[in-house]
Amino acid sequence: MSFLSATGMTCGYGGADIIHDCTITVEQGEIAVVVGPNGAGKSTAMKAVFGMLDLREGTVTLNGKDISKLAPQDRVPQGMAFVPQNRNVFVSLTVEENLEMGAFIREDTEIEDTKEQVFALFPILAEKRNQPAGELSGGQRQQVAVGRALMTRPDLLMLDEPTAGVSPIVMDELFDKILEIAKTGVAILMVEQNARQALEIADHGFVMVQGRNRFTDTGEALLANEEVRRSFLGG
Amino acid sequence: MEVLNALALFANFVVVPATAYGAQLALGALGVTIIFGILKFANFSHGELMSFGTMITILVTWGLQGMGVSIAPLPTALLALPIGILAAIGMALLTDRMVFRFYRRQRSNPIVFAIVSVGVMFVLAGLIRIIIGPADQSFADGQRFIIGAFESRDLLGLDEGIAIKQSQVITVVVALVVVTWLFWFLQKTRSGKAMRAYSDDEDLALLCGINPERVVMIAWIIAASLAAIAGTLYGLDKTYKPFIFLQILLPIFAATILGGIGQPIGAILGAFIVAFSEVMVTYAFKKFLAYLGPEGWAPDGLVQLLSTDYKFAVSFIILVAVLLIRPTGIIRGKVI
Repeated sequence: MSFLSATGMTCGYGGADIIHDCTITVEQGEIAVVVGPNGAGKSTAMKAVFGMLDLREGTVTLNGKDISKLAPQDRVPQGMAFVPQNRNVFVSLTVEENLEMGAFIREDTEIEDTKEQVFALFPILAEKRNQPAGELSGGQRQQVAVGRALMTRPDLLMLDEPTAGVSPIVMDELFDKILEIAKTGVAILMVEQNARQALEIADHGFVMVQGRNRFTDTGEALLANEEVRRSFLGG
Repeated sequence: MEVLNALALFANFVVVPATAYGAQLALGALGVTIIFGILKFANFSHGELMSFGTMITILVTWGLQGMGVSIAPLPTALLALPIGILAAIGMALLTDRMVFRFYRRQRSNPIVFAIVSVGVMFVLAGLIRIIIGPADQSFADGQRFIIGAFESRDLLGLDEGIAIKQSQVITVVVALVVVTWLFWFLQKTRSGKAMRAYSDDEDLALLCGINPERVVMIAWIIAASLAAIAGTLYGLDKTYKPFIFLQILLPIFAATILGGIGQPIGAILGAFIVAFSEVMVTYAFKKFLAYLGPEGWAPDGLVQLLSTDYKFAVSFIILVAVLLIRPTGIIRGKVI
């Protein structure tokens, strides 16, 4: 069984189901990417994995443990960290305070070390540590958001469109950082609009269409797949 | 010399009383701000919470006075204040548990919360009138003046003296200590940062593992403490009348909105602006101008913009003006 294994997820926002029998898996140290057209249910699948939506069917297991019934905040201590697409930093708190809030649930004494690791990964944050996060640029905010999530020392990092609204250069930088994070053994699951670039760094890709898994393969294979390219990657 | 006399007169009748009043309003406005920041509603019951804390302080003060306990020259009420604070905290947590928590679980609209708080306000007001009655109560003892008008006049060698009441000094000192502690708490402690984070974004705070019920509890504890302190200081400085705490809501809300809703520093700034406006607009400038004008001249009228009976109109005008011109307040806060 995979490290994260979300199988047969069916759920929606109250009324009709948005995703149907959807399966997403990630291994430790790997990057899994969920791509697909607008409205395919990518973000919904992400929310379902994190417990922000109640599953009607299906299970989510992390490291072999069934967490399907846990509330989102109870999944954080289990090793999950989630970076939402919007409103993912505390705008009135400084960069450093944002990171401290990320470590809120931790009781150990090594919080400072983790903070230094995050600063080492994102040097710009060390520079701006005393600035309110709301004053930073979009790309820097994303770094704060990812940094805050890393402060819990997660085993699984979930990113909902981390590159939404940032420039292509910043996007490349962010992808580089995400690769670096994966190399430390963290499992990474992300939803991406920039499907081609995301699949290039992905170990596994999940192509979703209308709330269902359409293609599941390695990133490389999906990029090489004629149908995927024609339908979802613009040729 | 005449200019100095005018300034002394101004200090005596405007600066000193307005500073003390401003400090009392600031403590009240900070309580409203904290509740708005965390629970996202305008808490109309805050005035009665002040009244309730003060009432308990007065009852305990009477008890202490009856037993002959005294910390003269300081007022006995300071000794009783901690009990008043605890009672206010108890009442705030009780109303939260019995009333507000229900609407929180329903995820009610802020306007519903505001209306509910009006209900709580009436219930508290009734309770207070049952316990202590609607009449004025005097509980101030200890030394009345730090420096009297005559004393200071001789000291300064002027025709006008600057009287400073002990209650005014206590007000300002206590307010300074409390506000300093509050800002230290919000800026430096883990719980304080968690409160700011929660105020900023509830959902994200939840993702960080911040417990909302705990944040709400701390918010009530702080707001109730501030309320009891503010009410007692106001009562010591002036007098305790239960009905005044309905009226005082207006300047407190004016200060909160003027400063920027949800902004603690704004609340303090707003409180002093409201206090100084109120005192200055209702002060008769006749004698002040007479000192500045030519020898033997004095304005015909009192040169008073508004009768003191209308002092609450000042807060009202400020409130309306802010909402029309700059609804975010001085320090950019949320817009209601």
